[in-house]
Amino acid sequence: MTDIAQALDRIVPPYDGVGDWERVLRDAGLERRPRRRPLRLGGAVALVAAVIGVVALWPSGAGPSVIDRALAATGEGPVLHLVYESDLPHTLVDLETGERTELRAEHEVWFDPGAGLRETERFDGIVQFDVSLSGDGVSEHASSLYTSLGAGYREALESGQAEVLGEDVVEGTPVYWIKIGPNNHDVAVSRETFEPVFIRVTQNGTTGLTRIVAYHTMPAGSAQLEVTSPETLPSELGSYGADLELTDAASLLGRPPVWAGPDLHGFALDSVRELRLPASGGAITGLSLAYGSTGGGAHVEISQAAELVDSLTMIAGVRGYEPPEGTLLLSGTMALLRSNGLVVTIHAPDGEMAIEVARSLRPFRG
Amino acid sequence: MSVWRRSRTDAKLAAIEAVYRERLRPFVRLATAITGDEQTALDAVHDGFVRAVRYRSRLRDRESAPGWVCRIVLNEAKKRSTIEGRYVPTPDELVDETVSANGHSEPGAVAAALAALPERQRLALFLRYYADLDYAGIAEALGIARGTVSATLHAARANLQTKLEEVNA
Repeated sequence: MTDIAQALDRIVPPYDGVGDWERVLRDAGLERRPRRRPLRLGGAVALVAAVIGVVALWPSGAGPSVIDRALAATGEGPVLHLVYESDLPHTLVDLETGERTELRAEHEVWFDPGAGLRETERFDGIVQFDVSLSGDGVSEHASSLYTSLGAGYREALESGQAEVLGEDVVEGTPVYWIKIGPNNHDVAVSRETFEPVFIRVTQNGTTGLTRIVAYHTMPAGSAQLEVTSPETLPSELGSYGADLELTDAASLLGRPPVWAGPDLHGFALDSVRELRLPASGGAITGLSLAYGSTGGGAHVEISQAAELVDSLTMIAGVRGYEPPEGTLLLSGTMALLRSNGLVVTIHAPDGEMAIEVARSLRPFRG
Repeated sequence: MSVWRRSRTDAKLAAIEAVYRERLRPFVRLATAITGDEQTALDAVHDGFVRAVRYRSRLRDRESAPGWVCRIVLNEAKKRSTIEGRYVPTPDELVDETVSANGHSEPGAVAAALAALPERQRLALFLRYYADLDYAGIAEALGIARGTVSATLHAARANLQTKLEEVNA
């Protein structure tokens, strides 16, 4: 049977606009433009308010305040559903132009106090891990953190502990910053939806900023705690096998290996070794080329396999992901790319050198 | 604390705003299916919400808000539909594409099958799949008994399947 949902999707594809609720209110005859509180406050207080940009609250009866609307956007219940971007980005590098694009993993949290915690990480939509813990298995730290971000945030808004610090534009998004109680967490809510869009945490004089992709609180029992992608991370990465001659490598991979020539920035090709790469259907064979000494000094190592296997790509911090053709995924000093039909990882003394090595790769024709 | 309890002064307005935040996109899809044009659909949805805000005193309670607002949006979309039952495909949409190589019915064929459904069944499908309403919401939007929704949807799916098989035969 033709799937009805798919068939209807083809007729009217999803709409992704955001709308304009303020315009609805205006057109309905309800003006809700915030009116600045008259500056009647005496000297120092008024000055401080102006300096830190405290947003004037709407006078009582003229409509909900920023805090009210932030509260209305939280939903209700103790269950937290949170999706946020990873703090540590990968960089996608166009090998021809050098253009760089930051890619961040998305981390999804379902937390139901007492019932459990599920955490799922996705990179470019591909599940990197998906784990679920029952109530007893949730660490005190995680429980405290997610309770604070869920019910704690709402309680701060309800109790009057929360304070609007001012307006801002963060990474292009217009926001209000809200200080949540006496801790060091500030939450930025969208000026359009009033949902949390950033969290700012200051610790030991250092401020970290995390982008929130989705934030909901829901009634108890509504958390989706069951994992849907139960695959685990590879239990081990690759291991070295026998030493080889490069001329024998093509038969190992089923196609010519890639290399960077006999010498690379003063590093001579030092070793050619078979790689044993664990995979779901049994180990596959890859190849490792080492330039310079791998005994502890600076060196470059080029690893390659004919298949995309987690035990190889996890070296670059991702699984199941392949960068688009002509690009390289850079994670610190590790790079991942597809070259000459092979999946290749590069370990170099620094990221720039890894990019240079990637550009110099070519098939070894023997 | 819930929206209702927090916004004592205008709980109904808060409920409509919640519907706007949560369901704008599904409602635009619904209106697009009816008007055949996204811009027209956006106007219909906007005006529907404006009307909902103005007449919010008629909203019974928070639970019925999605279906109640949807009913207004649905009416706005139908008013803008220049052809009765706009989902009747135009000749361009029916260019002899019926079944693609992979065996899936193409949009023109599906649109034709939808157009052949009784209006209530067609709207029930749209409300379920595009507006993402539950049975209570569909009942509210169509002004029918909740118990009728299941039978209507079942009949719509069966009819649609039959008509698609006829088109694909």
